[in-house]
Amino acid sequence: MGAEKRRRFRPDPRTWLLFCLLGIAAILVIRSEIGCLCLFLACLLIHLLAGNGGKILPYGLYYLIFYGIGWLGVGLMDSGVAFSVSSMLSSIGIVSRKVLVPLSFAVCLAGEPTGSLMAALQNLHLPKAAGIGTAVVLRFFPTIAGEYRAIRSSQRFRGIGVGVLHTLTHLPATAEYILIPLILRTTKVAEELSASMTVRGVRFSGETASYRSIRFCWKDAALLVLLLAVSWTALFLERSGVL
Amino acid sequence: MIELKNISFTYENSREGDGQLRHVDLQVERGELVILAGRSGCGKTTLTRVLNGLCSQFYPGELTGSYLLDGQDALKMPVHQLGTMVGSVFQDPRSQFFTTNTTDEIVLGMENIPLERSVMQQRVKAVYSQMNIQRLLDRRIFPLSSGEKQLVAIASVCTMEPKIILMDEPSANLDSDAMVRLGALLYRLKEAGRTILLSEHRFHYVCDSFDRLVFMENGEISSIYSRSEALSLTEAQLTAMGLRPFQSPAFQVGGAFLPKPEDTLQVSQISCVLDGRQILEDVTFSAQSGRILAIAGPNGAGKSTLCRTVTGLCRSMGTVQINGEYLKRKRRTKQSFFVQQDADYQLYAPTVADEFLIGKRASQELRQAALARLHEMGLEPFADRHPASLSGGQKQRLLLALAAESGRDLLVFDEPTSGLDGYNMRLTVKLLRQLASTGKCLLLITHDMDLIAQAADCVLYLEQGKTCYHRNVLRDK
Repeated sequence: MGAEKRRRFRPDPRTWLLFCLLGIAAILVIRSEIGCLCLFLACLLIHLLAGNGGKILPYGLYYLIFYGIGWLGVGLMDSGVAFSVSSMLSSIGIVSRKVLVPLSFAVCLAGEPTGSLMAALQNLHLPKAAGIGTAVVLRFFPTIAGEYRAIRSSQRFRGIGVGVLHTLTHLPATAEYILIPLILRTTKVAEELSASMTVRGVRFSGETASYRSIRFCWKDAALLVLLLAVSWTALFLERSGVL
Repeated sequence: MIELKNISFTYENSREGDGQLRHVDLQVERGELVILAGRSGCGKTTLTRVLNGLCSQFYPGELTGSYLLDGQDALKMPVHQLGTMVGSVFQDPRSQFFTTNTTDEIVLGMENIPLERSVMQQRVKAVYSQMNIQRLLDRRIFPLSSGEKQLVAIASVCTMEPKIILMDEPSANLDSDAMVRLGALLYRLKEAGRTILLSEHRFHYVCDSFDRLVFMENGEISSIYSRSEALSLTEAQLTAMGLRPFQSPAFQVGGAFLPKPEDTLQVSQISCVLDGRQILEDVTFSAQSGRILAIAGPNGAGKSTLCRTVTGLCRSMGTVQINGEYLKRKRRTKQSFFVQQDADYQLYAPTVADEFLIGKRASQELRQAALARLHEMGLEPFADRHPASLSGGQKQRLLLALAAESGRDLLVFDEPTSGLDGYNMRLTVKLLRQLASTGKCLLLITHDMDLIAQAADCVLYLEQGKTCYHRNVLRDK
């Protein structure tokens, strides 16, 4: 039929990359509790507008949990518990809920198809090596996780590291039995992956074309302006002594 | 098209005779489909690596002789340039992916040629349709089954439209239908003038289209057979050469399998959802001690998930009884032994003999029992070797020995003959039958029709997570 379906808005990978960088800068300069909360709420709003509404509840829960850990740490400081424990807890609470902002954007960036990511980096005129490196990292984390899971599940049938107590009482042997096959497998995967990339012409120099078209539209710009405005306002109010 | 003259290759730091090529002379014409056959370790993979430039540009070593490709000296071409003329599909589909998305992987080679976006779109569409893999469009690669990954790897090479296509055991993880489709695709590519070299152990699917069979032994081409000569090789000759038969095995399934209350394994109404997808739906079956049940079905049908569920590795709905007792997940793991597809992450000890002592208190009796088991499996000479130094077939036999020595009643094997030559496949069949005869209940997840024909007593066929049938194997007497 004539009418085309309106496609759901999906931010450009470059937008996620800029969100990440902006988020890192913001959490470094904004120090007040209220300022950080405003930043986090802006982050949730961006996820909602970007069609990631399902992520709001888990991120909100993480924030509350880390807030609780920080609060517990501060409370323990007053009750005379060892300073190292209380300061560790409060630091974990504060740092983790700040890191949630850029991390939530990084998760979205990592979820982009590799082709879109490479096209985005290419459009940003970054060296091809940066794109290849990013793609390999994105490829390798799930690989190592998958290999680790496969090793652990195989070990259950051999009576290795069955249960927490068994693992702790045989920690050196269990670590050895995990590390050796993991290293062997990842080395093999790395070698075969390099060979496969080489024969398909992937190299650090040389021209490439992108299969996926990416587009930075006004909605991307509006979301960036939103995060920038919230960060700048929070920083301004903080420096003015209001927050 | 391809002219190899006196090609020899020795890997750097390799042991004498290990994966080397010696004085290989071979000419392949445009549009030919040539099968490279021979026992594991005979040099087939090394020959394909010389052809695509990986030896010696990626894998260091000493390469001598001459290699002309379309009249040009291929030994002087950089490997990425050679890659646009010679497309390669590697043996292990799990380790050849650069991207995390199927479509990105399929277009990767074209992006690096580089081609126009419209051309890429046309080729992707055509290849998806030819291979009937529309369901794999724009999917995440990691959750795919090995067979589905293999199809993506093949599609990735086909879209590049290279003059020459090298495939290293492309059928190792494919189901029967996918294998037939691959056979048809290779035929079409051959008709379109592509030259195809296929390093393979299973020949059924190219039986009607191959032109020559190159038989390799110890790094040398020992004989080259024309199609008619190859097809006239007798079963005894093929067995002596360590090859599998050309024709599909003669067996049928028939007669409903009747479950009995005393069956060792009774699985009832298993359903499983992973990553929001229903993988298994209401699967019910049983298996008896002393018999071998093959679990077959298309790629992605849920065979591995079913066995992971039965052995307690995966959460699911439904019940599992072993020896008449309903068991929770952890106890199922303790009462079964699951040999997964890749041997590399299932061997941990510094020596082959020590593998038998893992998780147990070492004693002289245990060591004697281990050596006896290794002797039975033909692995005694390797008792003091590191398990990683064994060949694929030897690792598989070692895992069989470990399964036998575990003392568990339920033994599960995921593709135990994947990538094995005829000799090792027959040996594995013999050992599996021996294990079953000791009263063990064996489940085999497999696409290998030769294995089902020779080893299985009954077949459970799954399709889209549901039981299609559970029948006995009827063999020609």
